[in-house]
Amino acid sequence: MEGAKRTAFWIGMTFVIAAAPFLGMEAYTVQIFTLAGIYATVALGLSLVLGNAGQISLGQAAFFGIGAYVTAQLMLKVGLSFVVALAAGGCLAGVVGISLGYLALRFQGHYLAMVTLCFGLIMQIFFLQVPALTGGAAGITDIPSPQLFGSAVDNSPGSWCKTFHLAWFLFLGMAWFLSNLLSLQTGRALAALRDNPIAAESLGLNVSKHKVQAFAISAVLAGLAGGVYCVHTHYIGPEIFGVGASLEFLIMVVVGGLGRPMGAVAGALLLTVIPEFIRAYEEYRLLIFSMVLMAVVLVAPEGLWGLVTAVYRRIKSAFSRESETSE
Amino acid sequence: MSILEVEDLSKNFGGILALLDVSFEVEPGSIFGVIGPNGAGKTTLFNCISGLEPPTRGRMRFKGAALEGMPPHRIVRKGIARTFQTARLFLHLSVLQNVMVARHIHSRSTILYDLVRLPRARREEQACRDDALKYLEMVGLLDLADKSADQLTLSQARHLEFARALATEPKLLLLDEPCAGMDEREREALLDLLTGIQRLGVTLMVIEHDIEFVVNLCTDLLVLNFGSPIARGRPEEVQRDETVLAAYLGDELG
Repeated sequence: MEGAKRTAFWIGMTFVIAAAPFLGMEAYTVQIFTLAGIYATVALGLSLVLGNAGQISLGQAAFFGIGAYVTAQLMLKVGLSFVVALAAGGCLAGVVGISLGYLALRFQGHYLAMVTLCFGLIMQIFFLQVPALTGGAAGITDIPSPQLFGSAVDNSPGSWCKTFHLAWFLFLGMAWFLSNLLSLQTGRALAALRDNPIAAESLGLNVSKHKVQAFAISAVLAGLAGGVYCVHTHYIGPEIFGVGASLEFLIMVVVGGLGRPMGAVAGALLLTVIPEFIRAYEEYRLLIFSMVLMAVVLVAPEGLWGLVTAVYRRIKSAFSRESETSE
Repeated sequence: MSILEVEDLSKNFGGILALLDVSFEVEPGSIFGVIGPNGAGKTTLFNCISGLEPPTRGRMRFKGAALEGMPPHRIVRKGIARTFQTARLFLHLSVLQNVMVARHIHSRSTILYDLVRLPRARREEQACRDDALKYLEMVGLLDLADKSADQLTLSQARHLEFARALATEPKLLLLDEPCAGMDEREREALLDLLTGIQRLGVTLMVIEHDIEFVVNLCTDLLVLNFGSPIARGRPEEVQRDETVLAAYLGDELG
């Protein structure tokens, strides 16, 4: 995108997000879309690791959990404001992400999948078995809403700044950061090291540094999303941050389109909205998700957003050909 | 003082001796040719110098500083760049982007500037692009800048590798069979390009099978056979050396 067009896009998105919940959306719909925004942020980070850095992570829910627990406890036990607690949650997730990133350098492919899967399992056991920090199996309840100028930020009909805004503005800000990175050195470097790591290293790229950075960024995004999640639901517990959640994030990214920020939105929306229609069949949730995944992989291997851009391009070229022949 | 000193360099792969006690010095500004039959250890030598493979024994000094144990990306920053026997391009990037990647080590922008597109990030990106175009022009690929790298011919791919390696601003450039797959006319053009690069003050080390090309280009030659150096000197001396003739043609003929 050109500079001016790019700026217009981000400003436009800001207005859309600010106005959306006031345009006749039902309160329940606002809740669902808030959750979709939170998941989209996690998917955005995972998409960087999976699509751009070419590595797999099956433990993303652990970072989501770290962010949620740290934010909740700092607000409840220490009495910090939401913003400070959220920042701390994101930072801690990032630090853990860097550690896992260094560990991940030693493994590839299936082995990396196993290592990150085990990391996710270990963190879930930690959330369950260290009640002093995490509230154990009972989890943490009564997490307060953030305060802004004396009024609560939540999705109740009266509030002018909603959790919806929190979730989607976080996503928008992070998507802006990532699109900046991907359009400059980092994007080129990641593409180069995925194409040919030996050549990349021989031209001066520190392959390890870039991989760890990608892991760290994805962890920070998941951590921040977790922080917003805990003030959205007001409750967190270990069952939320298991392998199932990690898999759902993975499915969102693949269904939406690897390495595409807008794909994260598409995947998160689809996989948050579908369950609302299939509430009666809750136990078949992962089965249905898997079927969606298989359908997408077969029909649109580049994900939903890849499909959208391909169709758009074809229509555009058809139009330009038509105008050429008419001239 | 020589720009590169290699002393008793050895490399084993399991029981196989790829290099055995190789010692030589490369003078700054020279074009140093490495020749020898297939499997003589030429590429292994380059891999050791560029840090891709750790030597089993021996020392390598670049401008007096030890190289062994240094990762490839730091060796590049010291001023040693290389190309590969089969071009290793970034096939999903454009020709221009391939060269821009090589300019990253000269960028003063970091991930923090890039995150919010600060003026410095934009300035460095522009400089990166401009510099990359300069190197594409040098190797004659300017017209193909926006083409995808997977659409290049063999000869164009090699030239893109030269541009990429040059873009790191090396003091020493290692070329692994630069004219493999090129026709006569392309080889002559390459000869001019490489002497042009030498005139810019870059020292060259070249692995090549085409003896005529090597003799025309190089100021010094090292001949390897089964991992050991068997001759060293000026091209016209080496050409008359009996052990070299024996290694190339077989004992019965020599």
